[in-house]
Amino acid sequence: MADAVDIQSCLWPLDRRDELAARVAGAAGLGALGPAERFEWSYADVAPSLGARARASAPAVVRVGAGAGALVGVVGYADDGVRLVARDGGAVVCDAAMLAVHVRAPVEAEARPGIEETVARAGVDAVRAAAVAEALLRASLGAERVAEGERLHRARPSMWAALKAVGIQRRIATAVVGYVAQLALVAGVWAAVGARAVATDASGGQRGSFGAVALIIAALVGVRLASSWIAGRLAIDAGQALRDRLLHGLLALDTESTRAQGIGQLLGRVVETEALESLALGGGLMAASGAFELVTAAVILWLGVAAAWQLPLLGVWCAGAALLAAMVQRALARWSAERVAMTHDLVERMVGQRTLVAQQSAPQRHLEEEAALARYARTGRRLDGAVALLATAVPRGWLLAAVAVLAPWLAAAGSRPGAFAISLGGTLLAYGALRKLAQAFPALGAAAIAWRQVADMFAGADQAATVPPASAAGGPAAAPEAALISARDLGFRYPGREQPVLKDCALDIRRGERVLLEGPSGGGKSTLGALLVGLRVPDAGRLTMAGVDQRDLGLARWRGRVGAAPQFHENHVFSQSFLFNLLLGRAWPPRREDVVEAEAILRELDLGPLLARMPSGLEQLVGDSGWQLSHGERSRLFIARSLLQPLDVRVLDESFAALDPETLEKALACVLKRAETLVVIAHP
Amino acid sequence: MTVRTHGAEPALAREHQDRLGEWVRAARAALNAALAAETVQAVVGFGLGAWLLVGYFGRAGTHDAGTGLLAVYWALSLPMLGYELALHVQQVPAQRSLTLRVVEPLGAPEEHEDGDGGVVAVGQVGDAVSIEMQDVRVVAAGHEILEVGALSIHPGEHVAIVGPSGAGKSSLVGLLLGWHRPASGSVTIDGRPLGLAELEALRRRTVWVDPTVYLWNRSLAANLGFGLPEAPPDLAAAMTDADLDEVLRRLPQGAETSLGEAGGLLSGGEGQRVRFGRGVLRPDPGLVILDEPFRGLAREQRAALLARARRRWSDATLVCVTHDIGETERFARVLVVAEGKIVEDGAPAKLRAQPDSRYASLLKAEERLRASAWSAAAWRRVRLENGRIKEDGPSG
Repeated sequence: MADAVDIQSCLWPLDRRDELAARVAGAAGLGALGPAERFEWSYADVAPSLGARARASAPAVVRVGAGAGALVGVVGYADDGVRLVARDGGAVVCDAAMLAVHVRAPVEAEARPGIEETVARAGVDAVRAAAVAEALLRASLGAERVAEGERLHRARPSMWAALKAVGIQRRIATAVVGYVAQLALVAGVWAAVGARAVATDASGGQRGSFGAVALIIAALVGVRLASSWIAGRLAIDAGQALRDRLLHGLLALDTESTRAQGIGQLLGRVVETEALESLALGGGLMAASGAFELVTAAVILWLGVAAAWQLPLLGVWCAGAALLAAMVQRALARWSAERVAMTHDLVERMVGQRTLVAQQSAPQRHLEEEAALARYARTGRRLDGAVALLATAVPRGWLLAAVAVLAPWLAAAGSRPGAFAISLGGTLLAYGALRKLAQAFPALGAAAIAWRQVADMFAGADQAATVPPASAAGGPAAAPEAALISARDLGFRYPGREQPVLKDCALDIRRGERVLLEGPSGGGKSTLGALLVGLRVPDAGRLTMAGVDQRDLGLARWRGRVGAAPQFHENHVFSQSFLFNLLLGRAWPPRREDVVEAEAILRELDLGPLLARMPSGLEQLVGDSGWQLSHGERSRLFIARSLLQPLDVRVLDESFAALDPETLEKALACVLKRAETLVVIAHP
Repeated sequence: MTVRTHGAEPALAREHQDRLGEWVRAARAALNAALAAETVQAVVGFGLGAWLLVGYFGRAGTHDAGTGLLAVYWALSLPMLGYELALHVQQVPAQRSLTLRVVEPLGAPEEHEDGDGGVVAVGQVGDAVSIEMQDVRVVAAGHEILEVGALSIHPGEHVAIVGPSGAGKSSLVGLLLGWHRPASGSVTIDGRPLGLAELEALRRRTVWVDPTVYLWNRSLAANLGFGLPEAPPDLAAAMTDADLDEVLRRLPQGAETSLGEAGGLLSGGEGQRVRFGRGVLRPDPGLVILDEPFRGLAREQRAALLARARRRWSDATLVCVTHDIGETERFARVLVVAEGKIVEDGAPAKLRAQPDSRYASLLKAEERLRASAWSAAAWRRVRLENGRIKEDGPSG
């Protein structure tokens, strides 16, 4: 059992955070680190000992103690002990209860004497006094924050690493082996049957040879089924990895590209990934097997009777097929472009359907659509023609040509039946191979086009995986007078615009200040808000929080302390429950105290009547396909969402614009009561 | 963007993981079912083939080598063909569900189902409309959201609508735009009940300015001229009327600049001016519906643009939903909507004089806000103009 002294030897100074994180990662076997997940411990989590919720956040770097505090590197938990990283770099095991006491101490120090005095005055007997004091402490301090930290996660692996983890290499190898086995078995069947058929002796080992053939066929069936199963599982697992990355890639997309593209194009690209999956896998396997068969056929033809003629013919035919495939690819690209453009248009019309109906007359609506459809039909016809040529002319033409070339040897067939049969077999095999390849290439081409649409989303996921290292402390507790956020010489220009929207802006925001940001429309208020919150990065100038530059702190940590409620048309109500929409920035799944605070804020914002009206209350599904909220109700939902997020500074961008004066008064009072440091962009 | 600013990535990722897990489970079950079917098919196919061959070769007599080979070839090929056929059949459920999903919108109820189909001339172009509502109830998702006992708006009347958030103001004008059909009662326009054909004709004569009006991912000029049969003759005058000149100066390609999806490349106030400009370009409207038309603009600009709008459309029937209660005092008539009912209806001066009216309390709340809440010493006022910050210092 280690004692309290060990805890002291495990405390690290704030400026050596990265070193500590690296050691924790090493001790926990995490390898490269990805983005960390912030968490907080409240008094209830560490009293009487480290609770389940506290134990769940490991491995982690936790800031404990009064004032600026010190860092503790938690590697993991085991029974009553907790593994920490000592200052000398090694890992030691401490008593979990001791750690809990240390974490609680600063918060308790103030309250304990008063409570113990109360207990003593109440005349509780000494045996129970300690327990009663503990219970009272927990009741009064339960929700106080005692520590905050970051849970360390392994870096998100790159796309190929993710697929490898899924076992894609192993499965592809097995699929290939299975396929080769199938071919060998088929060859075996033919060999056995062929020998049997040309033999003139129709007696004796007949049963035996048929038994062998039956056995081979049974094996063939088995191998085929196994291959199908492996291919199917491969498709599912690869699809899962793909979809998982897609979400993270979407979350990492940079703001500018989403702004320019919006929902129509993004939705279209998500749909592309479905196509990508089936086409790439199906096309890939077929192309691989087709190529393999083609090579085998060439070898067999070489062994045959007309090799000097048939092999060059095969070469010429393959060249022709390649040319046709290139034509098909070009036509496919043109047709896909039309199709994607039509999808974007369609989605845009769906989202703006009311405007379409209210402001455009019925005959006008179809003019543009008809032009697009005509182009689509034209390119589609060309594509169909090219594909038809590739799929029929190439294989069947080959069959005709090859057999025609073989004709002169027909007369001599009787003398060398074996060699002739081999040539014939090779021709048929090549025919099958060309058929497969003709089918596979358009599929692969379509997959390549789909990949081009979604590639940057997957690249985004890779980028998010590598977090820039922070060289300074992460959890600053600034002195009250010093500036919490300081901006100097800020400049920002939107790409494509000549004039910068912000020039040499300087602003200091101190803790507890309420800033009202006004100015003419289009003047850059929302842009300044976005810069303060870390959603955009300034082109010029410097942003610091408690003296730490934003570039050193890292955007992820910056955004953990400063948040915004974006403007009405940029904010979004998710198609989930009302409660999810409230707590999504705080904790999900929610704890009891989160729900209680959410309800309290809703009542202060005068949303009580709304809750009463919705049949499922907080669980009511809202969003595009759920309960429709009015503009004022939605604005207050966005305000509540921001208030519920644990932040140091909040930026409310025109959050009160859709409220009538009476509701505005109540909402303003609620916001001023609950937000310590505030920037409000408004036109009062 | 919403997700990132609220740090909601973990929450979303968790939800996504759950769905993904379900997808994987379902896909695996489908794969197993497909394989079971394939096994049965293979066994049956090859079994039959083997039986045929044994029968063929088992018969006494010599067998021609060629025929024998052919028999074996087909005995092996037919099951393979059957296998390919089965593969395609397996695709049918997936294709069917995809087709049903895609075709689903075609089954939505059409707006032009009943009615003569021809254009119904509801008054002359340019005439202001008259609106009558009698015993109207609007129901949405099983709840009554609006009830209008009797409402009568005369042609050319300018009416302001105010009230607390969520009261039903937008639902009231939604009746005129066709978003809601009354569950009971009648809405009469120019003496005719508002059926589908009349609604279509009314929309052609209506100007609608609202933050939910959609801006398309096209040029500024195309957005301004949206819905007009030909290119608008005087774009420049309309832009000046809508205070868009300074916006035009800032855009890199002028009026041909694309506004981004849903007008995302413009700020809120700029977007509202574009929506207003679109309304300005419509010729001779009979009905003008303004629903929070100048949100995102400074108070003085809101007042100026509203005055400009009322001057321009002085002959038309104008309905304005707004939270600038002070501005409504210039209207001749004000409706106060609260809890789904019209609770007050009359001249603003008279309503203001009644001490316990909702209108008076709304006015008082607005004055309180302007006088104290926003001017309180607690606020530090910062002004951002032309990209530079000017501090006004704490006001008092």
